[in-house]
Amino acid sequence: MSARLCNRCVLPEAPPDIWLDAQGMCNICHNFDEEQRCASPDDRGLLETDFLKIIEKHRGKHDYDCLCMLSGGKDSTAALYYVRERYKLNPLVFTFNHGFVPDEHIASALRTVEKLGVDFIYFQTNFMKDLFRKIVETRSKVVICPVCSLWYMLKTYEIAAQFDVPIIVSGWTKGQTTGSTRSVLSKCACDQNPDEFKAMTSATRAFMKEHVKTDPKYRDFPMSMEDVLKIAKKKYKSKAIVLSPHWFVPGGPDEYVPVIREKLGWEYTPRSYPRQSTNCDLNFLASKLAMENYGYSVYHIEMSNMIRMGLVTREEALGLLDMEVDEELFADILKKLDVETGKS
Amino acid sequence: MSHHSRPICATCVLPEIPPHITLGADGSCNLCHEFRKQEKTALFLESDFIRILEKQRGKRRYDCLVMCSGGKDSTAALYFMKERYKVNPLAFTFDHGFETTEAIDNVRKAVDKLGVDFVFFKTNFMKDMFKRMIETKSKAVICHPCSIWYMDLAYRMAARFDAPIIIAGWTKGQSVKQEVMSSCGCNVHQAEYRAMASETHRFLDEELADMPQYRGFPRTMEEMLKRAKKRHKAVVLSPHWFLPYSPDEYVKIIQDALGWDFTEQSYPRKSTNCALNFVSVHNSMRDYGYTHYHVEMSKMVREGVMSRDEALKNLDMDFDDELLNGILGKLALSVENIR
Repeated sequence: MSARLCNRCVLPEAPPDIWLDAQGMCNICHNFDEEQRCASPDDRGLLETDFLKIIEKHRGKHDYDCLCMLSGGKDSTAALYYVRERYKLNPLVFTFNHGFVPDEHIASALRTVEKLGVDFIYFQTNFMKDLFRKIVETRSKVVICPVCSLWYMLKTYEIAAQFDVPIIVSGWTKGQTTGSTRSVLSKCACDQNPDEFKAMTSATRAFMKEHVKTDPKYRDFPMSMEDVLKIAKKKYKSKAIVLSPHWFVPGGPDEYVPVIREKLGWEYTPRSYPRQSTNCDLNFLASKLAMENYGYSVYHIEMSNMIRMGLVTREEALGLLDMEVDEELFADILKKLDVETGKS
Repeated sequence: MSHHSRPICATCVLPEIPPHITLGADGSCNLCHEFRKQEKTALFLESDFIRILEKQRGKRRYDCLVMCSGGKDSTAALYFMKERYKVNPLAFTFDHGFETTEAIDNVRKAVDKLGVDFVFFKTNFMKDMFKRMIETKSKAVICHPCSIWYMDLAYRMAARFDAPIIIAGWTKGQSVKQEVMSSCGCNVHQAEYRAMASETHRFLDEELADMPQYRGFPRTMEEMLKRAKKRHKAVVLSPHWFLPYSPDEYVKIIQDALGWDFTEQSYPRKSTNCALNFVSVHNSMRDYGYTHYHVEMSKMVREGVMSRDEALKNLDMDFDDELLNGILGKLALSVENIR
């Protein structure tokens, strides 16, 4: 991995989508600056009043005001904390497990719901395992996480519909969104069209066509996030809107981590990639494969966004994104996937 | 007379509590006498069960919703559904705040081993009601309103996940043959439940008026079922009614196949009930001299599934105030509230 890194964010040179200028700065950073310059004053960011307007419209009209997606990590834990303590909503908390979520994360989620005294639904399934295995075995360049996010967002919409919940609250950070209010609110913050996602997105499309649509088990699997929204509306009759309080509340992890530590006894989990995050075990493999295939992972994209927004420094990001290769863990994951080790 | 010094039926384990439970000249209670007179109706046959399963198999994402407490009976029920009947179950566990981690670990081990989908729901909804029942020293048995609540929840879950059958882990002792299918295995109209049932009814009618969250709480199991069936059609069954295995036999099976374990402490012994159950049975002994477990085990003794000695041993109360205080503490109460 000898590609030069942008000297402002943490993306490597990856032509034709990402390239550095003579000063060593990438086109994504240039685009960001350009957008900031051109943005009209009312499209510069999301305001808390926008968030309040939406929640007030729904408050108290259903059994639950919102469905909070909780992984047990800092971002979703803080999102839930804000929803409950700052906005005084009555949430139903939702944690899913596709078989690769470490027990510590679930224990952390349970501690949090216990402390906040809110209702909790946990769903566990092996449904995705065959699909994950296929990604590894075919050596597809598809990134596991975007495919998985199609599944879990659809599942989340289904749960929201089953419990008649009007708002879905995620813990997505400012770095996980790009663009204006409108584009964020309409696509689960998963705009995979920007340049830095292009290569990954096209690999996803190719994999879906070749390996997912042709498998009877995954016949109804959504092909894209747009597809997820369509199915949610049609099949589950869900009109739920997806929001993250992090988009509206100023400040980043430096501000909310001490709060959830103090109020909820939250702690970092011992192992995770990137550091100080709480992602599933499969994420190690996904990130490792992305590094091999592209030279960067979805977390490099997210953190680059956060650097541009001034929420983390480049040095911090580089520290968090440093990958320690734990061969034993990889072997465990592959075994869980029933992948013969020779094949990977 | 103190409840503890009442004479106990020589056949089953129920104490003499007139007018509903009386002992005859032979030392056996009226319920045992009635049982002997009863015509031996045919037991449920496994073919009946299979007929119901086949009617529903493969038509939906899940063939059934299996209620799993983590105890031996429900864990074995889940095991049988997956391994013996090869249906596609959704395992369902609820926690009203008093489930033990041991029980939940048992469920998680089982669903992991069996590779079945699992949904877990946790809520504090019932806490205020439990607290009210204990504080007011109501003679309502805590487990009764709770069972109305959780059966309602099970029906709602079955509706949400579109499951046509609800599987419970109820044992033969928890059923009265003919009625089971229609009343969730729980016939509170039998003589030995009558006193308890009327107190539960009175509590639900009179004590919750100032608690808006319980407006609309069903007053009886029948009322709950009537409403639930309007929303979603589902039949409630237990494989234990149809299978010849005794607990000893299926405990061995789930220990070997699923790594299932007995919990350290439970009432009755060798069961897995929620922590609040200790308070519930303590209060039942205080108010009635017996618990619904005495009723259940008496049935099993009559049916010949369990010996009287074993039942007496399992029903022995050996827990202390420290345990009760720990549990009551979760409701900001202490043993002073249950004396």
